[in-house]
Amino acid sequence: MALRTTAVLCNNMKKWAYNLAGFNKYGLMRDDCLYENDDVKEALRRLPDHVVDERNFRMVRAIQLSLQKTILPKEEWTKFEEDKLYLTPIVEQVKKERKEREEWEKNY
Amino acid sequence: MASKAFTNPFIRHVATRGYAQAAPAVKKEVRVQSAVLPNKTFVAALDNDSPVTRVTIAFKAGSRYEPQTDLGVAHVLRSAAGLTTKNVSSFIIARQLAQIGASVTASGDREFVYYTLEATQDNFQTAVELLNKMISNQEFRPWELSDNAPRLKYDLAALPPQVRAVDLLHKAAYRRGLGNSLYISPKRIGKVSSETMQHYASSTLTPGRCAITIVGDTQERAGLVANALQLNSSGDAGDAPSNYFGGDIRKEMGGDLAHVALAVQGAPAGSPQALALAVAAKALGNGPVTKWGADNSPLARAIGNIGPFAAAGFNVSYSDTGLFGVVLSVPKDEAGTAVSAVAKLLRSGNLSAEAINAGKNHLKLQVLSEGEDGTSLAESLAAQGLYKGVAKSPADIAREIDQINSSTVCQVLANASKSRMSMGAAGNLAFVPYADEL
Repeated sequence: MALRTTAVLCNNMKKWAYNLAGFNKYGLMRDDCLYENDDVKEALRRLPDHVVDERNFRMVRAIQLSLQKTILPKEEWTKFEEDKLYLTPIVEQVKKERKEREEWEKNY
Repeated sequence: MASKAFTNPFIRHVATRGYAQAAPAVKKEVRVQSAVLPNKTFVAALDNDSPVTRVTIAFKAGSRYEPQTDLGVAHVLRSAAGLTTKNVSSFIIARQLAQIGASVTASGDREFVYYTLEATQDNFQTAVELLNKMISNQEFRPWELSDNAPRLKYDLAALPPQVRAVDLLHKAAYRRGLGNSLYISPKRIGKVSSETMQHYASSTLTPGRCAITIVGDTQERAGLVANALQLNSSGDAGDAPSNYFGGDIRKEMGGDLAHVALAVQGAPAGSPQALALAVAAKALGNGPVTKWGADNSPLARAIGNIGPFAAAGFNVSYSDTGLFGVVLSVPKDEAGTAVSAVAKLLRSGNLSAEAINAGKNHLKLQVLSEGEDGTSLAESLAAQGLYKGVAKSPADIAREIDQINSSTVCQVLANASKSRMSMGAAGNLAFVPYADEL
């Protein structure tokens, strides 16, 4: 029981923090805000084209909104439940490959 | 100082000649051991005490098994060897193999794809584990496949026109199945999806379509390699037989030369007719045997004195049929006379007994010297196993060649020459006749 309460509480906290961050008001998703270092660039290359197109659309829209000093109407904000991590697993994979490479270079 | 005398090539030559008078065909007999495992994988081993061990893992996954909707997948499959699989990344495959000095090649023909590993005995275990990880559970990640496109383009750009002519010949002779090109069409590069590849791999890279051969180690080791492979045993591609049609396909490429491959229907692999036709192909001629020397083969005599040209007989055998014919490259202006002369020779279907004898000796030399090269030996044993379920050593094949008499060769040749002619031509075809005009 206590465990479930904790889980619910934790989830509520996450949601509160998510809404507080505010990027969802521009219609962005969590993975749209990743800093584009080499790992992320490689991961982006591996995404299917239509996912990259959707990401670019969200980013262009966010820039447009930011320039106009507005945000999206509330019903179009990204919801915490709908924010799927489409890039993070691939970035993790790229990082793993890089680690493997660095490990090899160290040993040989 | 006395030993210094032996560095003089002439003296050394005389000395070796003295020792090796009338060398027998085979000095020490090495036997091929073979078996079929419970999961229907064929394993064979030829333990010749070589310090280098070669393993070939071959699958019935050549271009004849490609679906007509996805031509070129067999080419992508062999060029995708070494990409990341579920078990190991492409980086580790490349670096670890380099570290232990092993080499892996993926080659293929119309019937099979061969993954061949060469490693020294002391590193063999590590290398074979890597080979296993490379072949099992291939993933064909989409971005790696698209990164691989330049390699496919390079393969196509490096194709000699003679190979194109033979490829077109197959297309003309069989249309589908065996007629599928060994190479992907340039327009399809980058269009073969990861799902297509996975489907093709899971239906063709199965234990029942696999042969594992080892040269330089025991059959038990081959069995261990077979058991370690993690292959999908469910799906199985259908084996549709290929019918011989005949006809011609031409590819006008310009230039000064015409490259023409002419053939009639041959015999299936492993049959006595196939061996007789292989002798006949060598008997037709294979170009001059000394550099700048005169070519006195039946082929060269039929073509006559038209200036420089190259012509060679060839015989290929597949599981259900084969092709027997001639490949020639001639200057464009002489192409008409040369092609007609060669076609006439093929149609006549007879060869002199001396030519057949020379052909037998040529073929024996080729079989035995290819048997010395472990890599091609391992691949040929694997192919024999997949064709017939038995593998013969080169010495056995040489013995069979000895036993063929020239009347058999003439008879098989006369039978073959009755079928319709096929032709594949590439290069400058201004004066090359069509197959039905021959």
